[in-house]
Amino acid sequence: MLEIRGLTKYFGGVVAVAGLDITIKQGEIVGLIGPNGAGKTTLFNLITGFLRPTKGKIVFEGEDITGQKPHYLAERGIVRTFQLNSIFPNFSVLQNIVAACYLKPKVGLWEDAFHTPSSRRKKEYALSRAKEILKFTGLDTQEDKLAEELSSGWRKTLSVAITLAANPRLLLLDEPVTTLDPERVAFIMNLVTKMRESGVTVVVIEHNMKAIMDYCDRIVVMAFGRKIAEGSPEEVRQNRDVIDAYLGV
Amino acid sequence: MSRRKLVKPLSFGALIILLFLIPLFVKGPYQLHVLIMAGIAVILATSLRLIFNSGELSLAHGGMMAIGAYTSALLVMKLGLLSWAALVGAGVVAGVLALLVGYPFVRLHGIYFSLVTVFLAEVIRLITEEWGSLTGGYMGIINIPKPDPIVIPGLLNIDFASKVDFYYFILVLTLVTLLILYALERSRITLTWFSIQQADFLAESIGVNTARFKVLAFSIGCFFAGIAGGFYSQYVAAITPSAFGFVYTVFCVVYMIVGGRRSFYGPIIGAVILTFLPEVARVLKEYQPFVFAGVLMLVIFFLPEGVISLPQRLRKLCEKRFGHA
Repeated sequence: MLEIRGLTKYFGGVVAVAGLDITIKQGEIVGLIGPNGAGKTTLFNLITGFLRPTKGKIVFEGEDITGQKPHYLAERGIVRTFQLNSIFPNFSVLQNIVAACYLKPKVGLWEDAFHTPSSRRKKEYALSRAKEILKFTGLDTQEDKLAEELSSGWRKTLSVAITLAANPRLLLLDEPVTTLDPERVAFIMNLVTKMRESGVTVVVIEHNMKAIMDYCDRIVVMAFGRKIAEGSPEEVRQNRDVIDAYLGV
Repeated sequence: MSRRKLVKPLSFGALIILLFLIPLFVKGPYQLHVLIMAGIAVILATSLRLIFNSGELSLAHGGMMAIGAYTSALLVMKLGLLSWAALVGAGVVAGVLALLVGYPFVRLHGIYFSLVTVFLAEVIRLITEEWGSLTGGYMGIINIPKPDPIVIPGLLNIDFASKVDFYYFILVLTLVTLLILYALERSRITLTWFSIQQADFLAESIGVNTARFKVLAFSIGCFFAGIAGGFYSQYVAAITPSAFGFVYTVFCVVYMIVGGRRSFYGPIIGAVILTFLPEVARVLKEYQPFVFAGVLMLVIFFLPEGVISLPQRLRKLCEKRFGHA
């Protein structure tokens, strides 16, 4: 569903991503690993339109999306999380999700400003959708808390729930379980697996090797802006280059 | 339950009736003048907060008010429009200008956005100063006609000869503005603006066209600043470029911060308090501005969420001192 061809990004003279070719198939969970500075987050920024590539092409479901705006890509179904602060801190948990239901249902500016019956119906629908999502993610117990008061485990859960509200087809998770305890890691990764079962394709950047090895169908390893290996968790674990560059002895 | 629900609309109703009755007790032209200026300040502060809701602090509010004031005056004096149409025109011109410059402006964030709005206000000031044939240059425009009289034969005859008429004019104008802004506050647009204010990158990634929403906020906010400017020129009947200087914009920002930028009512309270307080402190003569600055500093130190958070703060203090009641 996603084809990346010869993707290159320079920051001044520094190359962050160098001629990358990656194909993501419908329904996969792909792990993206590599040492710090390998260009993983830059790759996410390029795919989601937060950065423009210097060279190369990104094709999503047959459409060339190179250089499109992030909000347009979100509408097409490419949704991401951020490493830090991937929540709205001053909203309650419920408000976070209601705000994230921006695309579905879509409320027009005029009907919104004049509080027409149709906008009221849509708001009720957004609220019921938000409640469903809270239930699905277990966040219903935290509903009225301010997002900034949540524990880090619930925060990371909330950032995944926010993407869920945006109705993703391709979900890009940037370190969704970093710094969390094993129980919470399993909780969030199970959530991601459930989303995959409902038809979402997932790419996940993570340094937690257990989460990557246990939950990903396929792993892509990056170093210095290049892809140095690709394959099933087993293959990657035994790859000499990967061990040298990242996994260590 | 139902009784509690009634408290709010009833007290607002009482407040509005009280505001309409004020001219029965307050007759002095000076006192009425202060009340009228408070109304203008409320419109400016609340509309500035609307822009701030989308995450950017505009420092062009004084400039936009100037646009409104000159537009209204020129539409009446050069094109012979009805003053009421000119008032709407003042808002529309300011709003459209904001719409045009908004798209390039919102490519910048935070302090950089604020800086370009300062430059915009300066450009507006320079134009009003230098384009003498149209704007009267440094001397400004004088003898701006009063608003056209409202006459309903046998019932009503408002000719704007006295300050009382202007008081009712600005009262209605302020209430209508607040009504519109409140309707917006309760709508989903404001939820989206708040989400942009907190994390614009995240809002963008869930599908919000943040640039469009920021321009929309900027444009609506400037529309009301233009309206306030239009009213001001019709009220004082003479305008000069220096009347809308940068200091005026700073006042608007201070109203918003002192009152409380997170609450709809904050800027209203801030604007009213800070319009009256310096007047009360007039006896201090040249030390008068210190009152303004002193209040600002006290609020920033002790009530960072603004005067509006005072009851909540007091409640918390009481709980701390006397245990949970």
